[in-house]
Amino acid sequence: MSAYVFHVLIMVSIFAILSLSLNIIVGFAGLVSLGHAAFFGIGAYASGLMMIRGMGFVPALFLAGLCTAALGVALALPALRVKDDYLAIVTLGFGIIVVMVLMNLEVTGGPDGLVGIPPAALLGTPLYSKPGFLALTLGFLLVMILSVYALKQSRIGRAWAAIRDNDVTAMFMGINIYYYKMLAFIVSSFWAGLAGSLYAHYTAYINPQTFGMHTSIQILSMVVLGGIGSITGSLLGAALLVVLPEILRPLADYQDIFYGALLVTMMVFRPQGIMGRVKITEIFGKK
Amino acid sequence: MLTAEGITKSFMGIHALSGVSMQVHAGEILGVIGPNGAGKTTLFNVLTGLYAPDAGNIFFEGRDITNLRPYRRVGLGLARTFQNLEIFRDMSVLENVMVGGHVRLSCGFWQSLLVTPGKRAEERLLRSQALELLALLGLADRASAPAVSLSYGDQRRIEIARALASHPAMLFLDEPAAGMNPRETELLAGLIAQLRKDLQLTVVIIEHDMNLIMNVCDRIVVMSEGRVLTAGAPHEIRLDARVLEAYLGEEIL
Repeated sequence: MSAYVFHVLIMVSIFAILSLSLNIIVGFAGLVSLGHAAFFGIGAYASGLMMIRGMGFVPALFLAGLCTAALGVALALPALRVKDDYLAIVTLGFGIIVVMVLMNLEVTGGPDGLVGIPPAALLGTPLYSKPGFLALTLGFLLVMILSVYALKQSRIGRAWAAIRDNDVTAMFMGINIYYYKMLAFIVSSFWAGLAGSLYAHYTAYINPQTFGMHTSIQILSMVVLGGIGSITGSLLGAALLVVLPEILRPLADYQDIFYGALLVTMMVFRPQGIMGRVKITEIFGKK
Repeated sequence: MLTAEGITKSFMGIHALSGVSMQVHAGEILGVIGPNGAGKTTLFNVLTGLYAPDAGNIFFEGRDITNLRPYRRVGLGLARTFQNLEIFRDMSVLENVMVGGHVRLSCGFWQSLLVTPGKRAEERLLRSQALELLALLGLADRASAPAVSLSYGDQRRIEIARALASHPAMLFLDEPAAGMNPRETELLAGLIAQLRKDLQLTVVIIEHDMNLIMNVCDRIVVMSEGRVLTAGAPHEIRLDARVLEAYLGEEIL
């Protein structure tokens, strides 16, 4: 297989981690989030900065996940005081703020971004080969799928599903809805941060634009297209929305039209997504 | 067992409850009746924790629960059903009941993540107890059906099973017979009496169906215009002139 194919597969697995992580917030807990790429960016920058300053890859990776989770808490604390449309606006604002901060801080390199991020390394050996890096990202994706599945099949997953359905009723089931919503943000942002770290060490160069609104919408589209609340759906959504633009590359100028048409068609004919059971209107049209 | 003292609650200047005091005794089935707008549902919502009262206190087994959040009250043994059916629409019948058992499980994040043997044992126990509850309510054969596919009366029963899954000491039923035909209502009355006996429950019922109230309740609290008008045994309430007057001479009793 050519290096190009490996590159696409690596991007698919990184975006699969991202879409699955967003699905925890949107699909499992039924909350709206429009700023998910910000978590991706925080993980990427945290990991890049730590490794540039001499930290090893593995600690940098996990610390990046933890830093991102901490920011997830920082966002959720004020954001979870509001619901639905208001939550959408708060998360949207969060996404914009993060990009602005990355753009304006000196330590993050401003609009130019971070250059010369060291490659991922395992046991002291740098991982330059694409197949090797793909194995690494697939390994993380697999661990994530298993852990997300375990949570979904537990008391926690049931509490999330109850909150998604009706959070007032969920309170009367003895569910501390604030705690479980917070937990969704923490788990989700942790994984998005890990994805960011993997991405940073893969590309060796990051800049703020990558983590803006466009990427947030892209990740959300993967979740919605694949199916809200469905694990396989998120993987499928990521695969489709990473691979399709590559296939449509000859039509680069019309790519977004195709994209938009695909999403509109889905919403009209199958609003629950390819694999999902929950329709998007149940999350975004809540009263 | 449960004592409310001087509960006052108003919404934008409208007094829904003005100084309501009442008691629920352990083991009884208490009916709360009154004309529309008397404040019955608001009282339920204050007692179960949806609203904090503007004034007054609520004690459950001697403990002040006035400002306790709903999920904490469920942990203490208060469970409820809803006037407008509030089943979880994306779940099966069994899953609905299993959600109700949330407070009885102790597995936290890490045990769930790592699927520990303890977690698995807990889940198995919850599932079998949920199935038992469904059998008790006559829904055993519908366990895996989507909850929304069941009839109105059956969905009311799911709600009762779900509330019972938390092993409550006290069960609040908000108009459990609404939308049921007389035959279903009769079955419901039998069921409530049986649940009290089998599970040592204390039950509080809001209901407009006087047959149900008169048949099943040990004691009745009559509300009118946000106050407690009177309380007593069904035969006393039936003859109370003030109660008849509150219903504006409607021939209901």
